[in-house]
Amino acid sequence: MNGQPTAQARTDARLHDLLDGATAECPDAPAVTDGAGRWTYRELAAHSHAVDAWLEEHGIGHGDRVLVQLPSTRELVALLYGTSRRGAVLVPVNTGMKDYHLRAVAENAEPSLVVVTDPAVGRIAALAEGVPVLGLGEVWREITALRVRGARSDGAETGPEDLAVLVYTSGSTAAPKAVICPHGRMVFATEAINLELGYRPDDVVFCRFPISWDYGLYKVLLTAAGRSEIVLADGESDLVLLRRIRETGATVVPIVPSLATMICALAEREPSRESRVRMFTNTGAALPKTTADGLRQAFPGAEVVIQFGQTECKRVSVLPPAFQDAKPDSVGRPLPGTRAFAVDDEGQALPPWRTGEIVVEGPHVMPGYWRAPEQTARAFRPAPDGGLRLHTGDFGHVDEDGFLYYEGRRDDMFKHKGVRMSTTEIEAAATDVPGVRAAAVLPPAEGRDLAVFAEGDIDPHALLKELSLRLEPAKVPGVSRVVAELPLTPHGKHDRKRLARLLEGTTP
Amino acid sequence: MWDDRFEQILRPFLPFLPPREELTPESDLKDLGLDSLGTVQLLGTLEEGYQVRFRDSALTMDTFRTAGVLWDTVRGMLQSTAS
Repeated sequence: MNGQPTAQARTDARLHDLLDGATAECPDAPAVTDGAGRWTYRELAAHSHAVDAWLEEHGIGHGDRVLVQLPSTRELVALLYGTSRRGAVLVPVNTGMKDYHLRAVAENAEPSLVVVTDPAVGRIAALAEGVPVLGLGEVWREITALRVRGARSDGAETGPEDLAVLVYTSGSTAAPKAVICPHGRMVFATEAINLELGYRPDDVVFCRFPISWDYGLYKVLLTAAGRSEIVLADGESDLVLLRRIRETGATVVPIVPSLATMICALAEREPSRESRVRMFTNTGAALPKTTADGLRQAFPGAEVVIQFGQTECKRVSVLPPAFQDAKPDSVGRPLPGTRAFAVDDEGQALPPWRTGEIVVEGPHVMPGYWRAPEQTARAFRPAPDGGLRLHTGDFGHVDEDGFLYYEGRRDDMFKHKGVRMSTTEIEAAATDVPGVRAAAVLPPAEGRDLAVFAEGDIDPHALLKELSLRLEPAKVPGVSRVVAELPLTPHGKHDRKRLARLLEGTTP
Repeated sequence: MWDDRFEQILRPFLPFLPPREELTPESDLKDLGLDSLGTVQLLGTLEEGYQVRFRDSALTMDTFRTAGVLWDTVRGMLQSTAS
């Protein structure tokens, strides 16, 4: 046994039930803070009702998609819960998403309504033909007027199986694809995670990640589950990260390794001052031991919690601090009420220490990808005991206590700066650049940055700049090489071993 | 313009800038590939290299917007150290 909590996460609740639960219990506790101010749970709930009423006025109903490309502020949190009340589906996309991908997302999601920042209205309207595109400034004035009147919608019938959010994520295809996230499974994942992390009413969670990323999105839900306060710090300068963590009284700081590196670098400038941080929670990629030690040194008494997962089930596992010394290389145990283990090619569970694909079962496994039946069928397969079994594409094993160990990927997916991506999508963007005939991408590895190789008539630095116009910053390689001919394997695939050797050479 | 050391420190943080292309005071550092992590590391490298300390009020993205603005900030700190 691995000493898991005995409490249970709900499978039958909606997103706004989390908010309503927190509001009923502690209406005047701080709920959400951004650069411009703070709302209590009562205020957040009132705003979410106004959003619901506003959406109803605009003819948005059950299952309609509402696409938003907005910075992570209190307004976006109200839009999340208000859309949930309406029974509509929020489609939050990263503010860094470029037109190149945004057009594909708009075609795939078929939104009934789009809300963006005021200056972006014209540009986005050109991408999303025939769909109303509104600026947040005007939208928010109308929503504020409704809140002042205490407006309520006529209500909506929303059940746990209904869709709450479409989370667009990088897939092993050129275009982004969305994970379908129904209410019940999101709430289950949230509450199951909180059984392990234990957010409390006195916690202040410092969220440096956008709500468009599921890491940030679930922090909003987790703070409601814990009756804690979330500080939305995505728009702020990273140069003041450390100061803001201290000023806001943050007790919990979710990190990815690159953010942790930044915090450590800043802490070296301003060592050993008071902070309330009690817990860092990592995901995205393995946290180097030196970085974890750096955090513990800069924030005495703080724990560093290792987590592992993917949007398709939100989270696979958490390694509680109590097990860190005994199992330093583990990525944790499956969330309470779920299973995760390694299987062989026939889908048979493997004994401890035998490597296979990691699969996940439980009420947190999402139903699939939006309008992508083939990809859904590949990743989400029927479990032998009923329900769905998520094939993660990650390889690893379990130990005799059921703790997981991650070893690598099966396909062309990898993580860079904490963000999941595929060589395919970067190669597609590179071949979109004028002058590039063919491109190959080499994922980052020990001592080697993410690299792009191109065949064609282009300067390697110009190629990176062109890629930065097509891809989010994390997906832009650090190294660029233009070669006469891309090396191929006898099967006609990119020969990544020979590409790696090119990088070891001395040619600039 | 700036001293050689400034450009030597700055260039490795600008992956989109070809080695032989000129860095100008107007060069937008973000366009040249300076990212968040790079900015934080550049801050530390400049402070160490010049034995200066950026004031809290200078810790904004504006300070790191262009090579010219960044150099002005560094030069300002050098002058106040010297005087």
